[in-house]
Amino acid sequence: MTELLKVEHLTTWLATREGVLNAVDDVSFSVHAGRTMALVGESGSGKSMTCLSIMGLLPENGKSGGGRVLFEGEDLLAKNEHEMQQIRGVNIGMILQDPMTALNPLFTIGNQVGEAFYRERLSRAERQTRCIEVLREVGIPAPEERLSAYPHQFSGGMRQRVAIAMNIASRPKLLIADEPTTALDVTVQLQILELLRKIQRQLGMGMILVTHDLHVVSQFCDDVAIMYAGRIVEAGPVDKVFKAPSHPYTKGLLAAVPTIDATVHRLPLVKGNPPSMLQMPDGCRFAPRCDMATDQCRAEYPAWLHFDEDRRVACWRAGEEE
Amino acid sequence: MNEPFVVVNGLKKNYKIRLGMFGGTANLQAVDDLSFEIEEGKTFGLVGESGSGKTTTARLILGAEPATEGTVRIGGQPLNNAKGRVDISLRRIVQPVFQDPYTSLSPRMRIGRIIDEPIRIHGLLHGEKELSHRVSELLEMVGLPQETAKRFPNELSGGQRQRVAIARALAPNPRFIVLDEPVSALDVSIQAQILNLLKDLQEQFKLTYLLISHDLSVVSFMSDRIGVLYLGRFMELGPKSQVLGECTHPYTLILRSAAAPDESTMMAVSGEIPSPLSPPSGCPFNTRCPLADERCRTERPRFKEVGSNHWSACHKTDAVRDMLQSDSEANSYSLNNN
Repeated sequence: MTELLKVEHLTTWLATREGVLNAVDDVSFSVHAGRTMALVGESGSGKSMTCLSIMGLLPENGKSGGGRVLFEGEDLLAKNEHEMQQIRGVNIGMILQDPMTALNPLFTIGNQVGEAFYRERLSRAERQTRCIEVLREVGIPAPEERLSAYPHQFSGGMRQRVAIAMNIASRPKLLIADEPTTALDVTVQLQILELLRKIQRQLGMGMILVTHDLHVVSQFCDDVAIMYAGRIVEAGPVDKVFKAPSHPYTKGLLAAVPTIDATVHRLPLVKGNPPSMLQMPDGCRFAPRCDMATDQCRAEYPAWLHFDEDRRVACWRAGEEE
Repeated sequence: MNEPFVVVNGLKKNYKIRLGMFGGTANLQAVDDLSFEIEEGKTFGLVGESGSGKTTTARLILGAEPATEGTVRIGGQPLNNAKGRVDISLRRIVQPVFQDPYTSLSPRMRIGRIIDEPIRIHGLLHGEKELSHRVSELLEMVGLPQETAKRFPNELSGGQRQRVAIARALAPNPRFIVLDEPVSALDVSIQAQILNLLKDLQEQFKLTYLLISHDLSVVSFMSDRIGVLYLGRFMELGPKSQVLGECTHPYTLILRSAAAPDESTMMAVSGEIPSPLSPPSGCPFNTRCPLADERCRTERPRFKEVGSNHWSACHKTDAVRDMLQSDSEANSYSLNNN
């Protein structure tokens, strides 16, 4: 298993009118070629900011203030904008939640997918052939007729397929998919996830899948990192983490998802709300919502507890009998 | 005479769509012949993809739009009076909660004012003291601290806002609440809190719910009966246990496998929901159905009773049953049309 991306102690700050907030705090994880890592968390937990930090696409008020992002051994945070442009869209692709915002409404599909081939200096005809190939790969019916179509002539699912085509055209080694199916209907969601999995297997890509949907994680991902208030609280292979979650937040999240088979009267739940980024609690950030919190939890952020080499949790009470 | 609390009969809604400047008009049938009943104190879940007519149905039942055809009766009286307007007494007992708590609360009104507005409009209480007492009572019911009344919506989180929207809906003592995607804008942990709250309130006040969602797991957690909508028509309708456990329509089966976390029961379906402007002939689902044959493409299936009070619009109910059976025996099946 080759380690494609290694994020070490990534820390990202955002300057807002209310003050500087720590959107990503000491986040470390690895992505391996041919494997999918799920980044799970609720809104505001720092999932998207982590991805944008990796891509070097932070908003103007954002800054990565520490750590390293090693892509094939090279630190992306140390690269300048020009160097990053050689990597983005070539070696690392990124798919966004809403395909309408990722596509330019004023240009045809052929034009936008063809952009991926500009660097190869192909002739017009060659470029067109390659476009048709890659559109066929993502399951667009009759691609030769759709090259001159505009994004608004496509449905949501088809647009997301086009966005995927643009990103895999250059055969990237890593694909970051930020909530790629959230804007789509459930039946279409499955199609897109199946497609991503098929392409990933064909190309042997590493993939980061950002999602809040735990069903998606259990069906499509190999590894998972659960984020809460800017930090990873638990990480490991999906089957191990989901079978025996050890952080109270992971346990709460897994229990709070309604399933169609269960006939429960009330959902077990995590009480309270996530903390404001501006008023982060001392110690463990989950402590105010945690039933097991002790004085130590409230005073000191928990150190990593490693069960195996690939499974870790940040909780003082983990491993204790409840 | 024990009429169910909500009776919807043959509800239809057509929209005339103008096709550009010279294109003339087209007929969009958003809701096509829906009939269902909700018993008092129970929840009816409407599930479907976007464009299936869920929200149109909600708007028709709320009286926000006139129906093209069909009737709605709530609490024994017709929704529209002789002049075709919604009776003021019904407006009080029917209240909505919408999907997005960011746009459904006025940003320039304090929470207290948002909550007491319906009480003022219906003239239920007079005097500031009584109003503010009632507002505190409502805030407590939905689990918000008293000082929330003085704040503005932008100071609250999504979950808190949805609690405010629920408090506002409860303010005029309604008996029937239409919940249009009440949790789909919320995070998982907050979603569970709101769903539990809605269940508690239902028990406490004997409320009747119409719950609309695209998420079958949410619908199944909340509902007593479920209707599965596709292109404005019911595909399947019946008690929750039967629609989910003994489903007879391929579309329900597909939605079910999309909501089930188990990989062995995964079933993908090709294509997307067709445009309601040009619905397919025959069964509306035939373009995507793995079981469709010639008959499905030409003859629209009748809505027929397949179990006690369990209805399905499919020519192939037996084939679906067999599939479900073999699924539970072998615990795996593949239904892709390849």
